Amino acid sequence: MPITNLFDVTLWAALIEFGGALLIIGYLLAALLTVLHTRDIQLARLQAATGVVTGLSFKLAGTLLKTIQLRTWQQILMFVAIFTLRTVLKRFFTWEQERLRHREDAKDDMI
Amino acid sequence: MESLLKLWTGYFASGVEGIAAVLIALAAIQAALQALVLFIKRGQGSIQSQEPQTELLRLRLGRWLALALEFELGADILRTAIAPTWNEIGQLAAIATIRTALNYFLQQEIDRAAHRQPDHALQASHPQPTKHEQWADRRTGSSDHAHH
Repeated sequence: MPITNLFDVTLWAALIEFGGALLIIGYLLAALLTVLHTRDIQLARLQAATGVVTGLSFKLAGTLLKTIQLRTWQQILMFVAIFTLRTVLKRFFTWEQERLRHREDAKDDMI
Repeated sequence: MESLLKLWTGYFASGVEGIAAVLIALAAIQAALQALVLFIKRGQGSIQSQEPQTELLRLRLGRWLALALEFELGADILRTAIAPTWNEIGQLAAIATIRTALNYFLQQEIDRAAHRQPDHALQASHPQPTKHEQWADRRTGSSDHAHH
């Protein structure tokens, strides 16, 4: 990477977002392995939700970094649209993660 | 380099969607085969005795579909990095909303079914004991597989 690229915010944002994407992929593969090995669908869903929430945090961080380079209304509106979509999805996954965790705890108590 | 990262993210998203499609297909085939077996056995037992089996089948299929939907939502999130036009962002938002709503209502249905038949709900979500575990239980005289 050339030295001039070190100050390229877009590149850093892309790298952070790619890290988030790798996290999501890793957790989803782990969930797939879990469901293949143990057949526990609830546990696999919990892993998938955890991965998506963690990955989304990275992606949101990358998106926030991009705000430095926003110049036109077009860019700002597009940023708001993507940011809103990701925030809503993160809310949903966090809610689902809590519920799945609660069910796992309840199941453990039953056992 | 940025375009390369976006290209790879696109490949990842397609891969995750492929896995979700395989999960849905396998779950549907499994449910169809089990439903067929239930249908063939219809003449042998009463309808009342078959009802819990049908409910269990629905529950299991619902859980697999919920897992596949989770994968598809993961792919949608990956695709948010590669949506440069308004048209693509709009389509992505619409699909993500539909899938989120589907996941929510599917979970509501699973919860309702599980509430009606808590024993079967536990069976459907927990792994079945292996032959070795069953054998070990018989040796120790314990019938509770949940400890494993």
